[in-house]
This record gives sequence, structure tokens and C-alpha cells, in this order.
Amino acid sequence: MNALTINIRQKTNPTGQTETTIALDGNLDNATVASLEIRLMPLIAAKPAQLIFDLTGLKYVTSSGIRLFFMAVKKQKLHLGQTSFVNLQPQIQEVFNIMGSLPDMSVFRDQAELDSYLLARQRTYEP
Amino acid sequence: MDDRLTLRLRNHFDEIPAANDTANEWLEYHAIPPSAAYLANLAIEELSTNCIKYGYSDQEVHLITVELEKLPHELILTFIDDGNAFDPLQQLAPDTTLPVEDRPIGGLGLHLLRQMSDDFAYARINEKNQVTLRKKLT
Repeated sequence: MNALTINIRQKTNPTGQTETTIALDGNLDNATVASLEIRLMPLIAAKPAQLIFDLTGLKYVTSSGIRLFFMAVKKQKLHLGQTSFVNLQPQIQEVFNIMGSLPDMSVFRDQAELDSYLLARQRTYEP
Repeated sequence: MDDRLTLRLRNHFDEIPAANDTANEWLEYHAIPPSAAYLANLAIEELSTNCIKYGYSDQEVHLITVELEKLPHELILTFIDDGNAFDPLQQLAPDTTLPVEDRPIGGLGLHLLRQMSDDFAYARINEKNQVTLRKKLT
């Protein structure tokens, strides 16, 4: 029940912004949330312009996982970084719907939708 | 496998993953649809966690009883604990229109359960808390 795999990818886009992608696979619950928090904190401390959660493999999230997502959004806002969530499975989408969409928390249907958003952000980016 | 599964958890966080593993075998055997199965897992985790964290004023071992029952068109989840009286329906729903920095930290788990279930009831019976969730099987 309580396995979570975390894969992290980082790249610099053409405008010099850092894009950090965290791909989650498995269950984000009370038993696994600390393992994500410990990886997440230094990534956010590096102030990435884009923080992206790829939830393709996320099967289960509890309120403790949602709280960690909210905290990430909040910390990203302190340095004007964006936070995005992509590829939500139906049950995860339902949880997000109940939690209410946030103006500062972008949810994308798939990678193509996220890419076009990020591209638009690059074009309008003024350091 | 029986249409009813009874789980008994001691009031310790380590008990929760094993309880959900057992529940998952039962849910899979009965081909419970994903949204109802998700609710069952979430209820076991959120309600047991709340109870273990806030329910007891002593250091004794307590048992939390979880019952899953499959009816032809409905899944019924019942949670019984002998902790301090706590009516989850008296908890205000969080304001999900607030910006993230203004959101209160608590109440999200109960809010999720209330929104995901078709019926959510509470009773205090014989000095025990009883929470019953119902989910239609469609």
C-alpha cells in the first residue's frame, strides 16, 4: 500500500529559467509524505521558476499529500515561482476538484497542454 | 469472500497501511469501482489518523473497528472507536475559494470524505463514536 517512487528532472529553458519536474508514482499518504517532503524542500529552496508535479503514476493521495502540495505552491509564490500539476488520474482529479482550484495552482490535462503553457510563459518572461 | 469485512486496528499509525492492504484485497475481490474503493482507503486512513491523533486522553491501547459492507448497490463503511466524543459533522468545511496561504491546515481530510461519500452520518452510542459513510456502486 505505502510505496511512493519519486523521480526528479531538472532543465534550463531557453530564457534561463529552471524547470524542476517531480514525477510521482504510487501512493502519497501519511506513510510516504515525509519521503516526498524531504526531497521537495531543497528543490524549492533553489527557487525554480517552474515547479511541475507529473502525477501520471500517482494512484492515491490523502489530505496530508494535498497539504504538502499546498505548501509547495505557497513557498513557490514567495519567490514568484509557478507550480503546475499534470496528468492527473481520474480519482486524483476528483480530489483536486473537491479541494477547489487555486488561481496560483495550475492543473493541466496532459504534457502538450503544459508545454504550450510553459512556452507562453517563456515568451512573456521578463527577468 | 464474505460481503462484510471487519478490521480492528490498535491506535497506532503503523496499523493503517496493513488495514488498507486487507481492505484492498476485499475491495478487489468484490470488484468495487475505483471511486468507492478510493473512498474506503481514504476513510480508513483519514478517520483512523484523526482518532489516533486526537481521540484519546490516556496512554492505553484502544481498538478502532472498521466494517466494510457490500450491498447490491451500495458500499457501507462504519467506523467505531471508544475515544473522546467527536462529531465530524460539527467541523466547518474549509473555504476552498481562499488563496492557498490563507487556507487553514486542518479539516481537509474530513471535507474530502464528506464530499466523496453519498451519505455521512455520526452517532454517539454507548460511549463510542460511530461514523457511517455510504457510497453508491454505479
